[in-house]
Amino acid sequence: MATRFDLSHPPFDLLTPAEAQALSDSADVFFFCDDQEILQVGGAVDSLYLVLKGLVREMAGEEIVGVYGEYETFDCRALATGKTFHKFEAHEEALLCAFPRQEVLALTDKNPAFGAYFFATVSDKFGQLAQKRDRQEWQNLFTAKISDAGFRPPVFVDAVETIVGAARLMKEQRCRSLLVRDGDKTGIFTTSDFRDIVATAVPGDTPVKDRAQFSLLSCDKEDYLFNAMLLMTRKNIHRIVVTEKGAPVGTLAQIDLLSYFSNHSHLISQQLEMATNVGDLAKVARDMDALVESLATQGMKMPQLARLIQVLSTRLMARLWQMVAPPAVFAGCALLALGSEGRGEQILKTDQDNALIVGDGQNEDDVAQAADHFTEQMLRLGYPLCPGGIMVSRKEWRHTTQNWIRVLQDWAWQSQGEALMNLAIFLDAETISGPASWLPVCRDALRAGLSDDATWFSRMALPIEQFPNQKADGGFWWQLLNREENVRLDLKKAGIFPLVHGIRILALEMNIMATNTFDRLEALVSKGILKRAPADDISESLAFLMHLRLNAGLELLRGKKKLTNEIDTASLNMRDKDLLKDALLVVKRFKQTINQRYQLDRF
Amino acid sequence: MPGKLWQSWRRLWRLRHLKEAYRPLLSEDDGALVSIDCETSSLKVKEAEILSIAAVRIEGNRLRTSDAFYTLIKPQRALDHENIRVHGLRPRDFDAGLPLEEALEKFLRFTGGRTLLGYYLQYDIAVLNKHLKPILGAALPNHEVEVSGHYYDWRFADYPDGYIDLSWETIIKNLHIPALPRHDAMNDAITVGMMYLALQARGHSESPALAPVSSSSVSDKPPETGSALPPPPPPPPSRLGQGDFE
Repeated sequence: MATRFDLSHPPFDLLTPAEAQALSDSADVFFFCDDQEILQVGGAVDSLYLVLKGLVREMAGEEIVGVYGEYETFDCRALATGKTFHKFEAHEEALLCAFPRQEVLALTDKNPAFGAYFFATVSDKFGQLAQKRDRQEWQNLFTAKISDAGFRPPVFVDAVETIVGAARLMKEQRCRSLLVRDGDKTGIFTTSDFRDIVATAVPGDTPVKDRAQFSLLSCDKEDYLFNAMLLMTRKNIHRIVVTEKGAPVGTLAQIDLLSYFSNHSHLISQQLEMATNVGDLAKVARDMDALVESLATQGMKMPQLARLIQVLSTRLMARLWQMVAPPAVFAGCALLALGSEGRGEQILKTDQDNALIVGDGQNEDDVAQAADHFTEQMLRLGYPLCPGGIMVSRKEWRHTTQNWIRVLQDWAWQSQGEALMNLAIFLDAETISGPASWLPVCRDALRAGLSDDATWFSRMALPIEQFPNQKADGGFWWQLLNREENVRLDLKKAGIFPLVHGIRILALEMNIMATNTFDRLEALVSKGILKRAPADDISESLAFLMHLRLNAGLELLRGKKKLTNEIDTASLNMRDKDLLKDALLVVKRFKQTINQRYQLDRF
Repeated sequence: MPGKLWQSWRRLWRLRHLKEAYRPLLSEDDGALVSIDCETSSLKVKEAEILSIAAVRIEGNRLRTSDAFYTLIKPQRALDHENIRVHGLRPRDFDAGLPLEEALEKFLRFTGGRTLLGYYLQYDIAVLNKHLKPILGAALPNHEVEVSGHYYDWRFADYPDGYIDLSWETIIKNLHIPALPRHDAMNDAITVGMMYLALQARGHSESPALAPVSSSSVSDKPPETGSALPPPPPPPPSRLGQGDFE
């Protein structure tokens, strides 16, 4: 039988049917009028409340610090301590379900997942992310098979081969262990055996079977990685033999285990190197999405995740360019990633922003054909076309160094509208493939051509004001309290763009060459333009906004929907709502800083 | 619903006629209200058999769902299929049911002499009284509160000229309370309790005893206030068919 009260929402969805039934039966219903106090500051709290209807606001003094609507639960912090530090009031007539605190506490003991929900919320905001990652990794450890970890294919050597021959084979095959075939016996011979060989001056022509270990420790390839790890730990060995139906099919080293659990990125980079056609690359691109998903759920921090993905996608694009461009074009052109891809802040494949610096003396038709082909194949790899047409397939984005300098200076001279945004995007460029010295030449020429005209920088900074504060401006909670339908927040407009662009302009003014926003922030701090504390706030806020966008994006991808920058704020949990509010405040303060520095009011 | 004065007089009269054994129990009233609902096998009082009874106390702004009363009652006759479709109780579901007398006994112990609250309560009371009268020697002496009456008063204050729809769904919608699945006595009793809490918050609740209380519950004519005489019974609500009351 279904429970009386709807307990299908977090955290109650973690309860077993029997637990939910018992909890539902222990609940009373309360009704509070508009503005009626529900919990008073410092008062004893004997219940956990679930909102059935209405809205409840959490107040710290006069400031709203939380809003609870239907199916949301409060005050989770008071569950542990038995008293609340904030005042809770009905904002809009609230019908509440009250679960006795003792019953809920008993359930948190009985049901660890349910308990984790509350006590993790109590713990430090960021500490919780780390906990979540630990849990996920432990899960991986218990469910991953040896075959998932990508063990190494075996290199066999005949038993009568000399140890010198074995050493040569290991060097040639770049492996650290050999399987030794001796009739129907199999042994293992590893680099660590050489220590003893040298130490005891064993002659080089000794047959390898005399030094190999024939009592093999092995695991089946379908066995759990965890068992392999246990075996290695127990026997204090560095590698085991992987078998399939008893026959050795490879070796698994401790290092493979480690890298599996840190991330799977080394596998992807191996695949990238081995790819021979676009089909292979498309598979790698899909694996990258899976990697992002897995690392994001493991709680990897955004700047690091973004950079890891940048390394991989840069190589992916370079490999694709190599495949589609004739050798002369490939060697004689510099392929650039622009915008977020250049900054190393594009985690999901939002679009392709790229350009080409064409070497002198290139055949224009060959270059055009290769560029067309590249854009087309990028689409196949999952990079949507750039809506603004910032792609190598368009000749506006293919110039020689000299022409680029002219184009850049022209954009700088116009410094508004499309030209301004083109320039901004180009400021973030990174070389993916081809001569790396051309891009700095373009940039230096641009920088040298800029007068230190304050008005010019002001005009460049102006776009941070193009999305007014209306939605982001602290009114976020009010918007929820007013029950505005579908409170959607465009993260790019509300936060990511103002931060990224403001920092970009500051970096340009300060002649900072870094393209990554987090790097630029560091550089701005070391030049004394920003103080350490606000810079850290900006960097954490940006990372958090990227994290929200990534999660929303992954959700969209799972639903096979198109990526957008919008998130549905109703879907955020309380902790994320809290952090989002903090982040939006940081954005607001930063916009004020930029506004003052460049006196944007005068426009 | 009869006026409060009339109810008080009736209460005294009925208490006097109660069998000795029940008098102390039904005199008890701690001021809490009890929202009740019965599921029955028919909508005609004469034919209706009680299938389940639910009751939940209201204390201030609190609905004591954690300590509510609910029981299934073994039917005397076989249920017809049409009816099973409405309340979703199959014959086998009554295996856990109590015999009628035992269920009523427990119900009385839960409610005591507290004021009873319901939606079209007169019907429930009529069916209960049909069985209780022989046991008690008199009909239930409890005060009765019709939730749709309070709802009427609240709506009437805002829309004195409009037609006031007293249907269950409309009340739920206008009071912004969650819709629990219907035709379960417990859910209906809880819903009525929530309706009452919401109306109470809007200033439409039981005022202290003997204060004049509006009485009209169904028609869209202005409510009669302070009536000392029993007003005519409300026109039969749609749910009741022929409306054959006590």
